[in-house]
Amino acid sequence: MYRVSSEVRFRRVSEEGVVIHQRQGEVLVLNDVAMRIVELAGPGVSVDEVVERLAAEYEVEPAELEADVRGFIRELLDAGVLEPQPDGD
Amino acid sequence: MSFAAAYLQQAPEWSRLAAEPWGHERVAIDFAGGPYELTGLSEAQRTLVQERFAGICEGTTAAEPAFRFAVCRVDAELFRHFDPRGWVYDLDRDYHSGGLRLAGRDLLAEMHWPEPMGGRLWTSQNTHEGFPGVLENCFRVAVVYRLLGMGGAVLHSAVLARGAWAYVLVGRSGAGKSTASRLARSQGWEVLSDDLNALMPTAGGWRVEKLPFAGDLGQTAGRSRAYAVAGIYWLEQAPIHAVRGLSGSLALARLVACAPVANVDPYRTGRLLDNLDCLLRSVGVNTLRFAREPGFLSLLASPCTA
Repeated sequence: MYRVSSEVRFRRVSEEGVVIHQRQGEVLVLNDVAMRIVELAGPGVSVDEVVERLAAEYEVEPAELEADVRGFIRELLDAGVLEPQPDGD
Repeated sequence: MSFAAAYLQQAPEWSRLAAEPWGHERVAIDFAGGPYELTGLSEAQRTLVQERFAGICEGTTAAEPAFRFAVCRVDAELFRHFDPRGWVYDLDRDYHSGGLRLAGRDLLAEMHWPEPMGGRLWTSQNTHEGFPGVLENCFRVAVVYRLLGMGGAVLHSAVLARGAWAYVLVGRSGAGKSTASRLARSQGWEVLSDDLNALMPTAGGWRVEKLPFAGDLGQTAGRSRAYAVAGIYWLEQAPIHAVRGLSGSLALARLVACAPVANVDPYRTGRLLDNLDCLLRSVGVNTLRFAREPGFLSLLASPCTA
């Protein structure tokens, strides 16, 4: 499970999103799916649940969607936008 | 490094900092979001403020101050003394939900913002060499928060005006804002500032006016007329001039990057996003590819001709 870093503020703009990473002094632009992952990330939300929610929103093969979501999550973790959520949170 | 360690001999004990005024002089400076009131000045400081902000500075003003600063005396021994040659000046900021603390060369300040906005500025400077610089550094931060509270924003930008309209050029350092400003001025355009400008929403749309701080063009400290914003352009150097569209999210990202101080304040970036989002709903943002000659001016379009 992952959550949005406390250093991050974000805003959806139409079908994209803008993410400000304050500590790194970076402003990122995310596509629609990456932005939905950020919007859905939160306490108690698993990767499987994110995939399930997105499967209901996008017409795409489940296996392809899951691979995309896991890839996006890796990139968002690398960028410091998401962070692992400690057990018990 | 802890807050203010670069500038102070030891960590400030805020509760023990005396609010001892330099004197009993008062001045109000009227520019975007103002008037900004200074109290507790010595006679020398008041004279320096009036010289620095000539034309927008009043000893008394009928308007209620929007931001009140009390200027306090502090011993020079509080501050570190060092050789500033080859040194890039960056104020140290400590953000809080209701305000911020600021440390710099010969200055320590705290500001608060639920209304009424204001704060205290401690400095050991009372002369021409030091005090105007201290004051300007404080104002550069104060005006950001004042404008944010009004629904506006301060942008690192060059603003070119002609007729009723102004065109806001933003871009990375070196993109050509000052060059574009010089070229526009040579063609009879008014240049508000090539450094910092204030954008504010009004009932009739967004307006822009310059901030009275020095830019590369050596602007005076006067107050410009507030112009209607016709368009915002992200400036990029290129072999030929061209205007290209920019997606809403990229436009917002570009503007956030050009909004000093507020874009790194964890308590205020949400408000900054709100204000810039509102700006983008009213004013178009495009990329302006710029070939460092005045032909680009013909590509700037007022809303009625775009």
